[in-house]
Amino acid sequence: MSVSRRELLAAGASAAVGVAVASAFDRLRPLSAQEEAQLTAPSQEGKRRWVWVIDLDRCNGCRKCTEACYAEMHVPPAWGEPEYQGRQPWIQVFDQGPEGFLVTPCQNCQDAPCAKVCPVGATYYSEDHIVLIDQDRCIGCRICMAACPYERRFFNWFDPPVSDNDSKAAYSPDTNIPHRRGVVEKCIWCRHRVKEGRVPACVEACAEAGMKALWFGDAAEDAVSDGQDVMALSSIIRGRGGYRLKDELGTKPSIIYLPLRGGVTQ
Amino acid sequence: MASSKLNLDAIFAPLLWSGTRYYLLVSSLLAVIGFGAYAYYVQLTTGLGVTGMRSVVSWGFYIINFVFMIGISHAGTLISAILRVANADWRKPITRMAESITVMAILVAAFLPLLDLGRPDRIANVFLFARLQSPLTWDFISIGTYLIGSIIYLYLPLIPDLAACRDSLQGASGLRRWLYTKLSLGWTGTEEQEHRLKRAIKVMAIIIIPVAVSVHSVVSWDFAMTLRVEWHNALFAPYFVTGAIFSGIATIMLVMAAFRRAYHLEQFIQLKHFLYLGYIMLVVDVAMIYFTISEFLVAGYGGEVLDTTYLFLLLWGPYAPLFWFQIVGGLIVPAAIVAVPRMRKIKWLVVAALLVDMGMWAERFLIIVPAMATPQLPYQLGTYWPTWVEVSIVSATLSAFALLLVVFGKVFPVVSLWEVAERETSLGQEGSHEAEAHILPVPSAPSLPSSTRRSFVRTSALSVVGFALGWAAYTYALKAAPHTAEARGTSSGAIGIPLSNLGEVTSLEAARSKATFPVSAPKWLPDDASLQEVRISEDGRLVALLYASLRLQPLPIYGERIALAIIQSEDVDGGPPAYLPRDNIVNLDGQAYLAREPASSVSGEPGRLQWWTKRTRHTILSPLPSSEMIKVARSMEVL
Repeated sequence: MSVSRRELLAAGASAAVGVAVASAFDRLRPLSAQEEAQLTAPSQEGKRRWVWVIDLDRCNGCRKCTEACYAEMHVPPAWGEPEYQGRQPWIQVFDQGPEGFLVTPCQNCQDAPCAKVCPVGATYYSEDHIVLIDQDRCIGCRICMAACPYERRFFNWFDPPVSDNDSKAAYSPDTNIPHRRGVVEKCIWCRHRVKEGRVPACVEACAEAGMKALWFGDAAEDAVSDGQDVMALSSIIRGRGGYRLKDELGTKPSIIYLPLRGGVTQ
Repeated sequence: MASSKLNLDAIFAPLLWSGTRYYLLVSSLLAVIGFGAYAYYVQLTTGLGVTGMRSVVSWGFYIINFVFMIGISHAGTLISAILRVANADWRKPITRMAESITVMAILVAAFLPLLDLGRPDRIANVFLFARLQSPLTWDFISIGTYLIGSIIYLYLPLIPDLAACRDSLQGASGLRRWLYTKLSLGWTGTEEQEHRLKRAIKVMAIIIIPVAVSVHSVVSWDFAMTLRVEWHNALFAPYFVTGAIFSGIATIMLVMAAFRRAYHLEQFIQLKHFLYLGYIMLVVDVAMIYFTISEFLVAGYGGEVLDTTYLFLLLWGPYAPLFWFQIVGGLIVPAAIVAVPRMRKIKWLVVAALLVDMGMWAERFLIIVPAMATPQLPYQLGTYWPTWVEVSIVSATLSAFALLLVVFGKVFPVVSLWEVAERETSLGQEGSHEAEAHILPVPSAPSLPSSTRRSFVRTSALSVVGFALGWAAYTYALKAAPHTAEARGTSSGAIGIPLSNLGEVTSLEAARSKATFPVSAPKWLPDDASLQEVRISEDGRLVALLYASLRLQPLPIYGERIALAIIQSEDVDGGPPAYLPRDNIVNLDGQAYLAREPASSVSGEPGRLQWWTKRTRHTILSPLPSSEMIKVARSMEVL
């Protein structure tokens, strides 16, 4: 039987309609609880409002936070980025000379530019509104890296070294372990620790080093902790002229920076 | 008149006969493509790290050439469509080349972002999990539409020429003749066919213009939608589209010159075609200069730190040679060449076109790399230099573009025969009739397909089969896709509190004396609630009273028994901080309470009530409704 051109076109067009309708149905069916969680919804009232206070006045630039991060998250190398020594600086400490240090983990924006531009929804907000990356879905297009105004996103340019233990671990976006090639990485506020009721590794390391510059907590509860002490959030930021990085961009970052008290530390 | 008589051999001959130079060209292009394929194999097996891209400058050669090739694609369709709509008669010998440049350039350009992906194996995700909010999804949609539209727009005016090939090229191979016969759709040149074809071309010419404009606008929005300096710019879309037309015209002129020389088309493609295109290029050139001045003046005058950093990189920094080449070589010199009458020779116009293309490539580089290298925070400047892998792969894509054009020119007439013949006729030259008759065979009786019931049934049946196949393919693809939901499932679940420790355990009395603010306690408590624990922070600024109850649902965040927590902290401001949600304020006795009802869902979020007194901030967390929490709050008395 020979198929005429007209018939072939009709069949082809129908196939396209079939794909379109099937995908529409797929979008319309009720979502399971897990899929619900995948949706990149904006922050919802009543959820946790994790907040970070970084007291730059207390930071002496020891970079214990970065080291703790490397150890905790098994951070992959930066592969020769001249600016980053060794590994991807998920929490990076900049020496600004007389202006002290600037500590920059992921700002965990409430309206994150990286999540907005992701073409496949691989960057998403967890239920407690931490910006995570689903590395099982990421296609490695890196538009999120272009979009992040804080440059807090990194890429696995090669196969990262993975320990035997890690290679056996079941992948979870809470740790992004085992790390793999061709996908984007970022600081995820140690969500696996936060779920267990612990503060992120860098916060703990900062307190253990005696600096107590990093504080982590829940804004809705108005309490922050460095893993040793608990303080009222409103009390530690009061009168300090705290600010958020590039707040004017409207990204609603979740980190409150407290500037130097009027002198250089040390 | 012999001069107007068309020498069709010039067009048909290359279709039938190829010289050594052709094979040499094709094999060298294939060699470059082959080496590019090897380079991509290296990249695929080793990782994108074999490129010069790193985390700061995370886009490089691939994206630069993607933007450049999409720009070139505007050549064609847009120019040919505008000239067609404007009824510019001189366009006729060059529209075919312009339109084929478009299709080939999009085919190559669409490939480039895929080469840039870290995980090309997951390309299906772009369809399966498409998010319309992402500019990249807009890209896929607009470029797909543009590709299909351009193919139709290239194909429609080809139909009469394919029929001419079918009828005239007796010496062609069987495969070719089959191709010409199939693709010419039974064209016999009847009045009815001609009328329909011209209508279809006219409609496509009008449709393709907004599509082409939208494509490069969307490409610019890939960049402009980010908050980066230089990119986040309302000028970007028109700037990109104008630049695209600019480089497109230059590319047409280069391709025209190449085909003119290789195929001896001097009879068809004359100085005036180069000159008219040169004039359009000059106008667009001036527009580009205007855009450039506008962009840099605005950025430089305002003097924002990042703007000036970026400007410095271009004007005096590491990218200055490229920048000044683009300004002088890519904008000013070509404009001068076209503007000076003495320079209006094909040779010089081709030089101008080459400069424009090189300048526009430099511009695409300068848009992407320095903007990414500009530090967004007090970081170091980023650096980027392409590696051999990127250079090889990009050379391969450019070669593929050239190869597609060369092969196209070997299979299809590169000059629109019937349109050229029509032009000769309309100019009233008797000598052209012979040519026209040669191209457009004598009209014969129309043979329109008769619609019978049988064909209707068959068409419907095939449509149903096609629909089912489409549906099944999508469903299967979705099943085969990585089960990302599973991984995310491990990341959901109950959230603990990092503050399991609200300070040291103490007694109510000790807390009262140690606290830096007046501590109060409730006189009224619901049900069987009893004080279980008192905790105080080290600095005495936070006191927590934790109550146990067997009847109330416990607060999961404080262990198994605590069902009611009253947290007080020192607060000089005496009001809710700005970052707390303000939408649920309850006013009682002139006192404002921030209240949140406990969540009824499984998530188990407790209810919350907050209020401020002179020096203290109070928070109650419990599963109680807010009316009961307010009752507790109103019974609070300073100890």
